Amino acid sequence: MSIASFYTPNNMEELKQCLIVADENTKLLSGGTDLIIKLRKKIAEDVNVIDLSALKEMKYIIKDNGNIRIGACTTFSQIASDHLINKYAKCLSLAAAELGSVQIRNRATIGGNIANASPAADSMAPLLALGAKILLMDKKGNKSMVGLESLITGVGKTNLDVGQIILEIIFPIRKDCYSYFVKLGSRKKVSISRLNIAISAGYQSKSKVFEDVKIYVGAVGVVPLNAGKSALLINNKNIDEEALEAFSDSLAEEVEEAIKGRSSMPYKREATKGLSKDLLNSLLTDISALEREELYDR
Amino acid sequence: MTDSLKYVGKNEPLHDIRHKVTGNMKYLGDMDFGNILHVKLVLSTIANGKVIKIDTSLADKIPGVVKIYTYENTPTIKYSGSSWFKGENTPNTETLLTQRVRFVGDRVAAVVAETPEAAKKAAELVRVEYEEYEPILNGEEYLKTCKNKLHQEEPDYYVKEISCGNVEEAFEKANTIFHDIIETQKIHHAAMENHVCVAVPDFIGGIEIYSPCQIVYGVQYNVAHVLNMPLNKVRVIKVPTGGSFGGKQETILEPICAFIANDLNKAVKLEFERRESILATRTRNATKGNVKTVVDKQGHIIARDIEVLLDAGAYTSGGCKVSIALGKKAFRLYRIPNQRYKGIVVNTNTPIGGACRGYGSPQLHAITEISMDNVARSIGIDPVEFRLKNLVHPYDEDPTGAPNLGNARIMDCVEKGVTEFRWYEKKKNIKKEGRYKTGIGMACATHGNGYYGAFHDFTRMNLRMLEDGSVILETGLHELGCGTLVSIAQIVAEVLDIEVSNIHVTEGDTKYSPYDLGSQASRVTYVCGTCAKEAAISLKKLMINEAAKVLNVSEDEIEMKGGFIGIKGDERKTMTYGGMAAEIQKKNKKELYVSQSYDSKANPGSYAAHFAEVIVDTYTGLVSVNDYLAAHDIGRAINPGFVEGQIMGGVQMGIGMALYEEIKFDKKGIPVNDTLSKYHLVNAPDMPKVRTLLIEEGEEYGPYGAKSIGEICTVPVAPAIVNAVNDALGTKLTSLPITPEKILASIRG
Repeated sequence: MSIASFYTPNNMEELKQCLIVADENTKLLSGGTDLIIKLRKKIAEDVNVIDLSALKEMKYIIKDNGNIRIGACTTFSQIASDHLINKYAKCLSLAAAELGSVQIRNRATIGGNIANASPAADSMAPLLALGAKILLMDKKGNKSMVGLESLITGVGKTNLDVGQIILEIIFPIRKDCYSYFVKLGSRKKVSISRLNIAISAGYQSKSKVFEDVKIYVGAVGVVPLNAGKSALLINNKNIDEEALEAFSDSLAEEVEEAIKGRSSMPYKREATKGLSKDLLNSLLTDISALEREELYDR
Repeated sequence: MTDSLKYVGKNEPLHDIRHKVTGNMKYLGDMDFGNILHVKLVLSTIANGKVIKIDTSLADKIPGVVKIYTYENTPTIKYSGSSWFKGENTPNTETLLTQRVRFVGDRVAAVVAETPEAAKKAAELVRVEYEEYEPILNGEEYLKTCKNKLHQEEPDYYVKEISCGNVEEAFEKANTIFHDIIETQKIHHAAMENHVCVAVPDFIGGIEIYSPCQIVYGVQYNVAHVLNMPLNKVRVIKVPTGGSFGGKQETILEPICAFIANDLNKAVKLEFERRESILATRTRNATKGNVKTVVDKQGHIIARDIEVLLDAGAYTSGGCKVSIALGKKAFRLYRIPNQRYKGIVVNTNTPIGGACRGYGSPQLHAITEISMDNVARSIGIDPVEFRLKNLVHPYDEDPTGAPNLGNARIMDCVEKGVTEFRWYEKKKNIKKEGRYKTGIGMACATHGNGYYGAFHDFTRMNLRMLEDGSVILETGLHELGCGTLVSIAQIVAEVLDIEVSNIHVTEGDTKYSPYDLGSQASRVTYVCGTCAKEAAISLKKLMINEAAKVLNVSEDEIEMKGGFIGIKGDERKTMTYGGMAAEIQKKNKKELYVSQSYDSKANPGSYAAHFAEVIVDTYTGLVSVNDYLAAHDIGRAINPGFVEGQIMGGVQMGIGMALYEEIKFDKKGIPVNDTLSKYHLVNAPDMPKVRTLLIEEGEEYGPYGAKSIGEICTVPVAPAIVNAVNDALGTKLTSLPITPEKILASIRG
């Protein structure tokens, strides 16, 4: 793709003017860690680029009315180091910290990660586990809120209209809710997810059981797999060795079902068993550490 | 060795390190050649077939397009990119462009345009129609079918045997024959700098070629052959190299680039992207090895039979040479009285194989050293003890009649390495229970020092002292980033007793450089280093002779020391080297200049023993290398820092071969990981701290005792890692790379 036109709006007003004239060949540049590579691959096509890098108004993380709101142009470095995210959305914090390399995290944005619609996108499973919704704006400036799942329609495909933009990601803060994220690449660092799992769950320290458990598995389909069956297995239950085994077997089964017939299935099924144990063990360790901290604070 | 050396054995920095770390280094891609045209190749998108139509009508319309070349308007003369001298008996199978495409990445057309963007755009718009044939994707498939010949005139099947003793007799008498089948994969060199070439017509009938190559005279030979030009009209200039590892040893982009420049009478540049470097240059040949071993009750190897099927890729190139070089190493590590090597080389519809750090050695040692551990386990003996019973001793003869092994210190590497690594202590304490399993493994290796015994190995250097005491050493050398030029300067400095920074070593330029065989075969320090030393000795002799005339004394009264020359015991007549060089010019009408030839006298083995400790996550199959020790029989480290740098890089490549790297194809022969985001190298977080142990016992013909390091350091790595993983898991993984998939599959049975 060759760049036929290139605009860098400085504020939301200018952005709206750019979006009004957007067409099928318009690309929104938000970090560019995927888009630039695509642009360089096929240069015989012409594209119009709207560069979102100057839009300070789209870079923020705030707590508002019981929700966390993240501007679509917020980078993963900002998310990984943000105390609100660390406190209320640990799974997203962990995913952001392990995404790509330092250089990629400094550029790549959460809005871009969603719009790029990669099955291996690291932010998708955590956001789904957190019950995130997306605030969109169409080319006329009308805003609407949609669920994250409904946005992605295929590998690299979304149902965003021409000139429609992701403005914000919103999820509710839930009381006594804990979350975690684990990832498996083909090497330790600077690696694309072959498998990732996010969990969020309420936890009662008195009864020591999870409730309202949500588990999503990434990189096993167009959108992360909602592993509801396995989530139920640890809902309102004491997590002992036996429960852990049953949970990991169940999650492996769900993964197997999701990618049946694919050559990667045998490995991903086995790896899911290990990864799911890591997920729960780490979450429990994290919770007890947080509880100790709270005791200490009192 | 007694150490009275002043410059050799010290850690001098790389001559261009300041430029490299500050980003000021100008590589060929950064150099400005003014009004230059840009070439983009159209590469085959199918693995096997024939072009039936090329439509350039859309491409022609792109503004800035100058000309589009196809097989129809380029010469059809055949050549082999791996040839480096006239009379070399290597099959010529390549052409500049081809109608008959043999792999995804074969050169179909070349678009020339005024800008790189226009060239790329137009290349995308060249429409090629193919007649498709069934591809052959590995050596075994070839052997099964044998029908689908990829080349008409040339055979695409070669067999070569090397042997000693009587293998058949020993096998007949044997009670047990241990048999292993071990596979190694196709690997990309992954130099940071992609392949690039610039060709500039000199407007008086000649052509200048700028290339970050390894053999200027090899490039000159090939280009002159393809263009049908006299050698003296082809000038090849070696430019700074951003990594090579053998990938830039063969002539690849230069002939097509030179042809286009000559045809258009314009300067042209051809610069590859990563995908093109992965597919359309060279790769490490994939192999499949069958090893059969007979051992006596005491653990001595009685006989061994090795058969290696080598996948040369779509064009044989250096495939036959790799196969022979690979086989020879099998006779130079252990004392095996009866041994046979059979190398079979076949063509497949995959990227071309060729020179890649070790030239077959890493493949051979992966095959034999993994098998050694399997045999050791079968007979219930520690792998270290098994090796110590069988390893060669210093000055053993090669049983096939190849050159003597020289001061082969592999036993020292193993014995000292075992202590330093704490092999037996680790063996007692390693954890084999639970999720994370620990294992230790080791492997031994040998590699050569130049071409003596195989090809003519010689070089020439001119050494000149200038009137300010600075020195120029004119050479046909190639600095590939490993410190060649500074190492050579250290050798000269030691003889002349002057600062290393006072010595300028020039690189290959066929217009001015004395002849050299190039940076290949681990020959540079061992052969060229000795030439540099002899040149310095000659210059010193000349200077003493001329100084004696100037000072009117006899030669044995002259003393040269620390940059000063004069009469022994008479400080009044002492002057700087530069001062004396000027006096010699004025009074004797003489230049301090020598031209030194040197032909290699031997080809000893370099040796290494590597030790690895790994932790395997049995839930995910991921391996982390926890501890690593590389013990090397180096003869003498001219620059220990460079030696360690080579070893660390070699270990990084070797771990990649063991665990990660492989160019893979789908059923149609389309590569599935032709980018570095999918073709994974070992990166810094996955690298262990590499400990090094240098055995410096000297080698007769090496400069100050030095032997090679650049290739051997990557040779034993993969088997050491695989052996450690097999030790951790009790598995028999033998197909490289041992990926998490293969590891989990073998644990689960």
